[in-house]
Amino acid sequence: MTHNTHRSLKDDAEIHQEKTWLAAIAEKQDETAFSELFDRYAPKIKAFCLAQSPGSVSLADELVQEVMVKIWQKAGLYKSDIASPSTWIFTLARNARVDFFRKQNRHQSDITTDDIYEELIDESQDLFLSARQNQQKLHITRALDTLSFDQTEVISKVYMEGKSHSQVADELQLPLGTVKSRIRLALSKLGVTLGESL
Amino acid sequence: MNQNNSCQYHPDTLTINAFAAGTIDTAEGLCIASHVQQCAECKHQLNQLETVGESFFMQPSQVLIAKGAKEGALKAIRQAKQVKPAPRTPTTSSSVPKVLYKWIPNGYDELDWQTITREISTFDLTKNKKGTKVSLLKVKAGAHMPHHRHSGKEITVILQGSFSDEDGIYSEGDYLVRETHENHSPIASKDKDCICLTLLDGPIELTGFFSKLLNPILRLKHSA
Ligand SMILES: [Zn+2]
Repeated sequence: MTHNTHRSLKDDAEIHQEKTWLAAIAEKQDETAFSELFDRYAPKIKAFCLAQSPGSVSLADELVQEVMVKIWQKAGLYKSDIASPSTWIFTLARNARVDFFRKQNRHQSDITTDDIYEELIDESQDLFLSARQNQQKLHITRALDTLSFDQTEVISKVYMEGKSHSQVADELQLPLGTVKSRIRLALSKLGVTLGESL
Repeated sequence: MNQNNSCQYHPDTLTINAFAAGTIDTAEGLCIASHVQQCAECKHQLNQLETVGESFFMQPSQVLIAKGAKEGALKAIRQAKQVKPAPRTPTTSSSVPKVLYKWIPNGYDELDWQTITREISTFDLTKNKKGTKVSLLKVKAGAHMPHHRHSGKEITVILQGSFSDEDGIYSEGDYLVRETHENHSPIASKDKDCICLTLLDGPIELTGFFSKLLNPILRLKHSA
């Protein structure tokens, strides 16, 4: 597992470039733009899938293709003033992974991620929203480096390995309450809690 | 539904964290989404918690992409249909959150409500094999909501109207969670029928006045 190192901050030019590629895909089915995004994101998507099921390489390859096709299909729905390309692509990868494992598990609901995650973007009529979000993103990215090993570990298990809080507790052999307070503490360090008492 | 910032009761940070990470069952996700869509605060928090996920997602890695994968993807996109952004739907006075349009396309009145008593009716949205059930509950203005006790988790999101119980008043948009074995008896407010989205995680057991009549029905419905 990687901890607290080389977390790269993308510069504005890079983000702008990716937005341009997404627009080119949506407006003129630009395969070159798609190919650029593939080079950048396919390894991230694969690593994300392998984090949940290490060893399932062919499954990861399958999901890479699925998510890349989703990027192509949904590029027209991407709102560049609201989310950064990487956040948007992360949500597509998350959704594909959830749906895949949901189909595997017959006990799960028949509700898909498309049913629940669409339309949940922060669309407040705020001219400074984009700037404010960049600020917050910068803050979160920097604050991640200040988390302790234990805090980074639990957050990473939740997001990258896709584990529920109780699965994390089982794996680390910690009481659920300890895991929860560790996550709460980490999230409050990142400034993303809503003034709840810890 | 129009976004309002007046919600008093929200899912807690850990719930939104799990939702952002995709580790929550989608039935519970539907309840969370029904609230988040109406709540500017939670929407903002969700976006931030997705940003946290994105930071981990973007970590450098040594993973190699299979040979021919890009060609495969290029082939696939040539056959894939692109999704066009939907025209903005005019905001109506309906209080149906957008995430529920799939089940409630024409408003609450058009649903095939199942009558439980003169004052209470339900409409089932979905149920999974573990027994988690998501339904709508409609209670006549001023009426007692089913007086019950149950053995699992219960989530309620108020979609229309309001109700109160021993602990307080709950109104449109509020997200409430009750854990196992709490016994409560809410009353719908007098001005409007109250419609809630509910998730029940275990069989419920009614207590009090209507229990003889209602218990078998609800239990049967739940395990059917
Ligand atoms: Zn909220």
